[in-house]
Amino acid sequence: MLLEIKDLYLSYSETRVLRGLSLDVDSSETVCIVGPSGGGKSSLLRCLNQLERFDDGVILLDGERIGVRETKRGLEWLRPHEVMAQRRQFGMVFQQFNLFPHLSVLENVAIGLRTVKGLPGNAARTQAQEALALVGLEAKKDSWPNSLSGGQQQRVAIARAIAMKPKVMLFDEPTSALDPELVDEVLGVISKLSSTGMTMLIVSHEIRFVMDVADKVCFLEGGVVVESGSPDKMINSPEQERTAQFLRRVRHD
Amino acid sequence: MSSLLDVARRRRVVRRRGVPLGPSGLKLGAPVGTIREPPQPMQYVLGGVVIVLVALATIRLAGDRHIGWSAFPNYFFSKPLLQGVETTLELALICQVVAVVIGAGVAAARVSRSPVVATLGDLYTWIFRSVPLLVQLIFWFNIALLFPSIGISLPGLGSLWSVPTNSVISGFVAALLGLALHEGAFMAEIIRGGILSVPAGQKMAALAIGMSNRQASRYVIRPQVLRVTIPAMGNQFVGLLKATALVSVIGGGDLLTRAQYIYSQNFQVVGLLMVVTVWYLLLVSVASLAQRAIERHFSNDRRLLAQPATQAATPSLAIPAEV
Repeated sequence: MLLEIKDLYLSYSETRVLRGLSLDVDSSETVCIVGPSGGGKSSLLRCLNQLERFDDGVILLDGERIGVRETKRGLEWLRPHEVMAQRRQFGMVFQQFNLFPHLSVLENVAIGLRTVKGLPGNAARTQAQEALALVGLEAKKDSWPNSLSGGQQQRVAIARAIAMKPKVMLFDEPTSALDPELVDEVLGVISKLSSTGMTMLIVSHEIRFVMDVADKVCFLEGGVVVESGSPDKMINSPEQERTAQFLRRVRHD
Repeated sequence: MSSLLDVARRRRVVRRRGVPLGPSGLKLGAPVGTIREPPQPMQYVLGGVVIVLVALATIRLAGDRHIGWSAFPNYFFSKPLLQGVETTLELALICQVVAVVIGAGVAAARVSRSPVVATLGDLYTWIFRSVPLLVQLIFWFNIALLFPSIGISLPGLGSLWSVPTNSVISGFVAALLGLALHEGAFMAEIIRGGILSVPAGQKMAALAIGMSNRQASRYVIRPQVLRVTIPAMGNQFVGLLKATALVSVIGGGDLLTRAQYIYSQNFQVVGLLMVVTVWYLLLVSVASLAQRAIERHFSNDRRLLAQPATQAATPSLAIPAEV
């Protein structure tokens, strides 16, 4: 297993968001997470790349414990530079793209390569250009983010994340903020990446896309994985009544 | 008069060629060029009245011997006044730079997660923004009454270095302190507003690609803060330039101080005040023009335009929000 999540707990003051969530992702696997709002989908992704601290549980990436260290005195949070090093193993794509508006498209992708990986300017730009080519936006490298459509912005955001060559890509509802006609271009790019053998964890509401691209689908509700399995099994023969109910409603929409 | 009106009206007409015709024969697109503004004769009447009044006032003032126009050729480019202009500009520029540094520090403190640091920042802004600038200037000028000497002394070693406060705090230094500390509090507010205007997602995105907090500030947050705060800082600078006149109460050596010194001896009070007024008009006009240029530069910057609002997604395949 590349990524193992065991018994993850997270709460915000009164609200318990994750309640003992467990989930495995194999290398080169595409795992999709579906489920109703407030089920803890986004929180899970933020815990994985430590934009958020969880309360309890174990996350292992390649056997390495994420976020915490065992000491003689018990568990301890990692220091900031260790957190940064682990964070580089994950690439994150946000719902709202979050491109840097003061940087050109190429610089948006290159800045991480320069500042985090310490590449010299030329090498960073070359690699950034390669990443942009993967999402089909090489021609837009000198544009400013705000002159792009939402779909193009999201593709740049994907290029920015994959340029860092992470072990696992995390997608947090990558098409939820897009106009319907722009959704397909982004999903197309994600499918393409999935077929190149990248390990991906995708939170998405696009059920047809999920069924198409996922090796494994997890239905997440109430802070736990209610059921997981192949797309075919989840649709045609779910074991849990709750899964069946949810997917039936979604498909009939 | 009518030909004048015609010229004025024709000027406003922007003709558009090649506007395509729709099926009904009406021109498609905005037919800006073919529809005119109605004539507004009152504007010309009003303009005429104002011109006459200004001319009368000019004639009246130009011939007024109390104003002492003779002060202009004698003093406008005189050495003391030019020195005063220099001091005024020095005060404004140095204080602006120092204030930006103070402001950046205080703003960073105020948005800090540490409650101690944040409270210190709040305290600074509260004090230096609340006490009138004039009071602060007089206070700094008289600081020797509170601390007769400034120095470094260590317990057990006695005094290592000490100088009388009055030898350090001249009018100019007191003016610098007062203006910079006061201005710094306002800069802090402007910069804090700028920091808060950067969406939280920007920092998250920076951290997510592996940047440290420091790198995120330097490469992602700070450039965006600069772009939104520079126009406001320009505006503040114009205010600061005028506020330097207050330092005349402590003999700061600025434009007004020098003029006061001259008219206390030759009693050409109005004449010198007029000279000073014209100098301030000039300085502030130049500063305002520069400020407007900077503002235009940054407002035309497409990078500054807000991210397009994202529409609520309702694709047909999407899962309904509540199930």
